[in-house]
Amino acid sequence: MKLKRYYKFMCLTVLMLLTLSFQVLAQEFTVSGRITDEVSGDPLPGVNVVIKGTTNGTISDADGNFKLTVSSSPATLTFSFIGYKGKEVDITSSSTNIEVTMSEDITNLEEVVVTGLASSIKRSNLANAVETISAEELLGTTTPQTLGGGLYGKLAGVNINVNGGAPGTSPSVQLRGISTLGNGSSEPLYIIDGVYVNNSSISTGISVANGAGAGQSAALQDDLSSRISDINPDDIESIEILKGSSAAAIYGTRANAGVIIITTKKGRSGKTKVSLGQEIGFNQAVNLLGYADWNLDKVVRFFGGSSQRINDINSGRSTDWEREIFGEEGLITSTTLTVSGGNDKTQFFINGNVRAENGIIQNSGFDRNTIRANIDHQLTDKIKISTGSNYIWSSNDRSFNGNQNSTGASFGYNISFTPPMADLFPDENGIYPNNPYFAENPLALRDLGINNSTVNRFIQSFNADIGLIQTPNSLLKLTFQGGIDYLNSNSLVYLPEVLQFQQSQANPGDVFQGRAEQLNINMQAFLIYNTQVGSVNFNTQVGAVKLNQDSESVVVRGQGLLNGNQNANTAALQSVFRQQRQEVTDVGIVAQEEINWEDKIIGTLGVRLDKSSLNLDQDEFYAFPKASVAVNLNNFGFLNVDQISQLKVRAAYGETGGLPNFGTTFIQLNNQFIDGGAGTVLSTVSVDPNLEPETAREIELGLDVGLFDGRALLEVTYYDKQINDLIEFLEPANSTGIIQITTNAGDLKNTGWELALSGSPIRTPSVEWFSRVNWWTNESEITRWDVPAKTTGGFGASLGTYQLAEGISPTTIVGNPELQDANGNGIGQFTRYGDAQPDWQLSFYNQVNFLKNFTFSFVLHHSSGADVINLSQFLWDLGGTSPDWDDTDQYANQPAMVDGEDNPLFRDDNGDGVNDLTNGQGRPLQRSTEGSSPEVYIQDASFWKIREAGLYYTLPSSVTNSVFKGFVEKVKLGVSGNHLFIFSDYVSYDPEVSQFGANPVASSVEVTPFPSSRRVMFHLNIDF
Amino acid sequence: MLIAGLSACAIFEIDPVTNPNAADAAIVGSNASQAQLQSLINGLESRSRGFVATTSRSFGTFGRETLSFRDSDPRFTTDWLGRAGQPDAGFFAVVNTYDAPFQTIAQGNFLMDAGANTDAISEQQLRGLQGYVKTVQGFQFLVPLLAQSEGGIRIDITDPQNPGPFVSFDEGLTFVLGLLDEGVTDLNAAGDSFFFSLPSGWGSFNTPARMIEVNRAIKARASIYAEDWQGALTALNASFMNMSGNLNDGPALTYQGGDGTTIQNEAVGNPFNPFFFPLDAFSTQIEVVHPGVLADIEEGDLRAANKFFPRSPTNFVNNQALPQYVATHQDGRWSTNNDNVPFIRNEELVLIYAEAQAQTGNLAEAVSAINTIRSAAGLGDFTNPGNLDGVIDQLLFERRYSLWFEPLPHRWVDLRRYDRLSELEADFIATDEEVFTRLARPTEEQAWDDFIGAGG
Repeated sequence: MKLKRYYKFMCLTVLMLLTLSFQVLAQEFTVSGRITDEVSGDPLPGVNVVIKGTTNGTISDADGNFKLTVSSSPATLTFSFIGYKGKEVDITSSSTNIEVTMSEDITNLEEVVVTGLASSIKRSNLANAVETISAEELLGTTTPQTLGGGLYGKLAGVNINVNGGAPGTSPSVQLRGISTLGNGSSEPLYIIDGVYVNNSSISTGISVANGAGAGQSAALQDDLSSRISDINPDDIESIEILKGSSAAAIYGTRANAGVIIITTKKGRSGKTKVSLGQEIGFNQAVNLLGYADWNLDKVVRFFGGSSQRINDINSGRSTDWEREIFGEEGLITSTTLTVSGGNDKTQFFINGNVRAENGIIQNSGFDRNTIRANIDHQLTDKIKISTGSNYIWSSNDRSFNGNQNSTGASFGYNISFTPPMADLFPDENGIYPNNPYFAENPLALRDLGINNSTVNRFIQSFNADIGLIQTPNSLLKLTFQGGIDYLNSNSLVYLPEVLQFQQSQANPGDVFQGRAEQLNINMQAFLIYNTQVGSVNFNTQVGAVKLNQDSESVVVRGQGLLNGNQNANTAALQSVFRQQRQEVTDVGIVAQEEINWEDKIIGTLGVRLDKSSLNLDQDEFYAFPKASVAVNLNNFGFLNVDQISQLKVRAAYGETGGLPNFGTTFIQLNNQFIDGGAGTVLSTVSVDPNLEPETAREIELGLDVGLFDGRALLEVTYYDKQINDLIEFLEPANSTGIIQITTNAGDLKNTGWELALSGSPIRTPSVEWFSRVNWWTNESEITRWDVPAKTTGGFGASLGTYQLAEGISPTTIVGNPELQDANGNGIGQFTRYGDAQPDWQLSFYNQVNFLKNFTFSFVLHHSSGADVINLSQFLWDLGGTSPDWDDTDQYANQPAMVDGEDNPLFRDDNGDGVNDLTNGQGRPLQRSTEGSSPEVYIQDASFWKIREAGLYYTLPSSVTNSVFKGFVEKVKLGVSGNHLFIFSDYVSYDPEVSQFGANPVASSVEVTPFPSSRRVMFHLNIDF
Repeated sequence: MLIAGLSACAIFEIDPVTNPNAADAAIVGSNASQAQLQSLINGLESRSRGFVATTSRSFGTFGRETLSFRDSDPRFTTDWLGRAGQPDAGFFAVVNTYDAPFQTIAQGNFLMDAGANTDAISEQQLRGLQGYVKTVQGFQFLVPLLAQSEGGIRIDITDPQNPGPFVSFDEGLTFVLGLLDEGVTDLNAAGDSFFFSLPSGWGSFNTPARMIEVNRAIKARASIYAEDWQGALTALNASFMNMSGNLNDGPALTYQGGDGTTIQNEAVGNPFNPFFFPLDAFSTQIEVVHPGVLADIEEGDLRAANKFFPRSPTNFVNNQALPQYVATHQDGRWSTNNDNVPFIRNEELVLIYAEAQAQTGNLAEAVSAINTIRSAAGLGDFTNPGNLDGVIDQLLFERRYSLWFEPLPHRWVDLRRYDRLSELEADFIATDEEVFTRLARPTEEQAWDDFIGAGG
């Protein structure tokens, strides 16, 4: 007790210390000057000019001029500007007017990288390969629809999965391979200006409405967008990606999947800047496949003698249903208004955006309106505060795609079975005919069905930086960060009673009305002490963090609706389909020491202690240590090769955690109802009483070589990331009535290489070319597996699934037949057909500025060797609608026997002596004739993609000035495209596809997804 | 010290989070109230329905009583018809012929433990509870046992991490028969009434005395699987069999007031009658009557008229995986999706009686029972052929129509009992169909034994 009181006193003392501050004296003169770009000679506005050793400074104006009062002579001015190398200039009271030139930091060595909760470090001193995406790279080529969409192809070591091409989709981002099997956190932690933002996917109930997930993993098949899609990419100044545990250790228990740190734009002091941006463009299917032809002969062969089908083909009707449904050109419009500026004390940045995108299916679309206000204020010369407020409204009509069961509520699935002669168009009274070929008329579904999620969201950040003690050699400061992320989501899934499938139901008309409310609150306080002892700089941090997450959701369902009514309360049958609450609290304590010997050797040691209410033992602290060292060999002086401007070797080790999902630590009773009475059943899911969180340990080694005075940089990184105590289900013998016990089942290892070569091969006043090549590879292997080998994901061994067993990657795609032991008994493992993980990937980013005012840039991305379970093709084959269905030349005149053996190309199910295998490309006419092996549908999904390309023209300032008489400062025009071309042998819309959303394993399963679209946009930007 | 100082601050304390979405299992583990026991009974009744949809559809298809038309997934008419080979461990969509009955049995054990660990009920009341639960468990054990057949099942399943070994089909049956007998012993000590109530499907079978009649009916069914003909006759004597009574009499699984949500995967639910599909509604996703059954109808059979609903020609059902065939009839037994589903009826007991009499040499008595059934179906008498085979032929014919597509369909099991599965070949629609003799042991069961065998 006494001890506790003592600690409380300590706590108070620490807090009181923070309020102290110190004064410094002054004696003054004034210096002014002009700053220009070394290559082009253009003035540089917005450069930070600071008197070294003080916090006094200013910012250059639009013409690159600055003026500053200096307190003592001589002094040193430091000039810094994002994207340029820093510079120091010595001045005395006699140098009243100076000219300063700055050169671009092509390889970003001097860029300051945020690496922790309260720390940042110069890139050249970094011990990890932390990648930074600047606003220029994120948005400079084209405008991504969502934040995740802007990361594609720009990062090494990243694997991005997407549900399909529905507008508003935010892909799931996987850093350095799989870090959980799905029961720990699978998505990286997103932090925006210190706010732990919510990236959940909010289930709508659609997978029950369409039957896709009537059984297991229902919500996984909801085709949801994760909520990071709410963020307006245009608000972002830079993104830093801590890919592995060695970099992310300081984020502790939630960082197994990596951390994505986002910094938004800030205002700069000077003239208030107003910019208006307008985009107009369109979405278009990037890759329609075509549709099989039908004729009387095929109808008879395929459907037998059904007179209705024969009448249909004789009617002469022919509609390409693929084009009919997926062939729309959806309009894209986006308007952005930005106002930013400020003075020495206060800077502001206000950005408003209204975006509306229609998809390639009628009535699909994504609308997002956002406004952000960032304010920075220097309260005293010791205290700086900043706040960022962001309100978002987004509305997403995701349409009906992917898997379904029995309901027809999926376009692709529906048209797989609908031949061109079907009659589906509404009559003059707007009545849609029944689709005799499947469970639904897709046109009626498109025109009458609703699948919408609308989100209102507010994100607030708050930062305070308080200088406590400053001496010539040391600085003690306190930083405080807090964040709130509140979102409210409304979802509506509506299948009106007039739909064909609904008419076959006992209570036609089905509506799911969902409401969800989620609130994240986080705060952290850090004390940072920096001191120089001789030639060594010590940076010490201690701090504490806390995160609360609360959420509540309700989905009500109504069946039996009349007259187009969508109110569940008016339905014949009403139910609360789902109601769920979650509350989570994490707390952590952090200590870190960074030691820098003259930028020669930079070492870091740190530890984080975390506890979380998600753990089975909610009071247990888990420790996550880290250690790293970077050695800049070029700074020792013995390496005198002019061409080498940097030679750094680095090594980093760190540990992170992965928490169990909410609810898995409880053994519960479930309710069921019968005959008006409530019943209690024992859950079939249990938990291991010794369950621990997942932990990852990573060692990362690297070599960075800077060449030609920073014009080129080669970065080579190797990592070995072990994830221990993977949380998985032990599946006991089913006959015990327990189907899952959550336990720590195994270990997983990811090893990989990341190579990045960047630089500027051409650099003249008329042409500047920047280029970067990334190459990366990751290999995964389950190194320990303490529960029976099992399959997961997909649709069972007969259609391809994933295998979890020791010695193989969890991305291994398997299928029938089952492997057998020496006695011919099945061993619970299946034949291996592929791997969802690519062998390697390559991306190639280029930006060329030419003829002064033109900029051309593009991103090329290659993925090699990944496999996908292509069940779309399985369905097309089954419906006879595969584009190549009639492409059967290789089967014509095949004999039944070749060399006395059965000819695999000869099939004669109906016994007429003629080869009846009529499907192209060697796939079976009906799967059954091939046995139950899914091999033919597990397909290589290698691709080349032009992710982005853009061409922009900025009006010469002379023209702007003469035309607009100084009213307009800058006019920029451009055309750009997103996801422009796919080059792949994979036979479907897009080789990057996942029926199972953000599921970390088992993602590459395709079931008639929303086809991917190409976005083409025209841009006009005016700065006033 | 600084860390120690900081860690003392209140912000480091976490309020323990309890499950906000469900009750903790420990609540009923000891000292459960009667109301809590009643809720566990309701849970058992709810779980009892878990096997029905999957088992009726798959067994119905295996025995060529029905076809499952699901254009969304062709495997219902490929894999289930043997067109992709014999069933393997991960066989398509048959999980609930196994998991659901065992989960029901586990719920029963949980319920009996809760009953034994409380003072809220008397010893006599406990015996009533145990007798009822064992009766339900006896019925549920038959589902996986019939699916696995000679592959056997586990019978010692109380410890999830330490289950007993698989036992043979015969040992399994012996165990079930014994369990049912234990149930009767308990029920005999249970007084005149139960302390709990049972849902509407049980009708008047809601007292210990009448529960014994159900228990004996189930035992009679199990006895013919064990070919214990005398045992079957003895059991029938104590059952609700009534030669002159309504053939539809019997207890049912309760679907009254269903809300349609699935009870799979833990969701709170109260399913609809899974056999019900709106009559003649346009659909390609429906159970249809197998053409083999239609082809062999004896003229004037009221069973066919009552059970097989003819769809209008514009609403005949196509199936992509059986393109050469158009289905004409659907299940016509149900008027609403809230109809309760009988799980053992007087009609079956009369047929069991006929079979057991025939097998014990009383052919005339057997023929008389068969003719009771035929007369109710509006058919003329069957003449005693004077030999066992002839009587059994006719018996199997009557069972095919009398017991068509029951929740635990009979024909596949019946033909297997009499080694006549090859008769199903006559009903093949596609040339690549195969007949199944049994389902393979599920993957998880195999994997568990491999795992234990490997020292895990």
